[in-house]
Amino acid sequence: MMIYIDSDFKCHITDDGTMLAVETDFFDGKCDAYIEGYRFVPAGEVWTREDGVVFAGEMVAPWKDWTELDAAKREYEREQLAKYEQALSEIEAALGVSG
Amino acid sequence: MIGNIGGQKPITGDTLTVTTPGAGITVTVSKDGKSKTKVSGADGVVAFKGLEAGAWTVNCTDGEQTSVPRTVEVTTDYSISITFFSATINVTYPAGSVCTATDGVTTLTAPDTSGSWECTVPNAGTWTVTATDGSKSNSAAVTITTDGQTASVTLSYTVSLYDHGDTCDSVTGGWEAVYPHYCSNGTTFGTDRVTLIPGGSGSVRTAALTKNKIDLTPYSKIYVHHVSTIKRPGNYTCQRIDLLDQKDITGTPIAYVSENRTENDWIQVLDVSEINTTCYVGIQCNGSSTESNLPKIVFDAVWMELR
Repeated sequence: MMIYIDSDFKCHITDDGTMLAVETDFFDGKCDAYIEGYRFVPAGEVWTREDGVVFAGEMVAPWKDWTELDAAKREYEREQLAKYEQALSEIEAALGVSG
Repeated sequence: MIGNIGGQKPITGDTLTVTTPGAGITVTVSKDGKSKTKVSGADGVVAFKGLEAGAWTVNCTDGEQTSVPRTVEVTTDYSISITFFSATINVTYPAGSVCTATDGVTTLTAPDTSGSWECTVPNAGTWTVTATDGSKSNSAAVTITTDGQTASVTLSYTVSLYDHGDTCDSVTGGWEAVYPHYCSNGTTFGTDRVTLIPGGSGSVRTAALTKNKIDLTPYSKIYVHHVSTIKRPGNYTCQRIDLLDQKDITGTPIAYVSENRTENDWIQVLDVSEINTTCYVGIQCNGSSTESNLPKIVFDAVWMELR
């Protein structure tokens, strides 16, 4: 999927006109909250953390507490599963079959 | 306080009583450049009267041994027992840090931040030695039981996961080879390094993975020292650090860094400052190859640094 990174390499799902587009499969199937809690440093780029440590790309690491991102991801997955099960039930009903 | 009576010189101030190991001990109390000296009698006790309030330093000697100086705050009549107990804790700590040692009653501070401190403790007990540099801090407990004992402790802000053949099992549970079903095992654990040569043809990979999940909450960075890389002509070779929730190096990691470098003797680093969970740590060689043209990476150290 296509994501967008700002000048601090933080990920966004939409471009505000200033961002760099990056194609990656790392975030496939992930919700917006999970994606936007990550930093993506492309190959050939470097990111300097506020304590002065330099990290070279390609590096993908969270800039928000990962446990919060994981909680958002799991909630999103539960919601997706509920939708699929609902859709399956409707299909079965239409076909006149029971699950 | 007693006032001037019958022309006698007034006696004011407080009394400090010092109990020593025996007779003939020379006791000196000093404060602000002033000092008083007495020799203990048969009962080992000397009393200094008329001391002004404040912190007095007490030293004792029998001519051969000298006690560790003790400080006493004189506010009212006060007594203290002096012994000749002395033990040494040799502390090695990160240079630039403040280092202290405490038994919960007495706290000693290293005289400088050089990273080396020969700490003399005045009594037996469990001494907690702590090094602090900004937000980073680490401690260790040292048990002192006997007079004259020497103990050593090393404090660090890093924790090793692999160190020149040491698999750091107490932290990692050991390391194991992990590779996809379409590749052959290309991970070799040598006497002082790990070699990764992914087997197969096309896009191949092989990795060394910790057997245990590691709690990364206290850490901000993971480092890998790469000894060498062989990148075959026309092929790509990536060095990766992966943080995995499952033992599957083909799955999506929690975080990773992937570089395509060919030089020897360099350090790779991954930001883990927001990873407040446990995960497997994997070092992977990910490349393209033919059966006769395999990429290769070699690493000899993996470590984490405290936040």
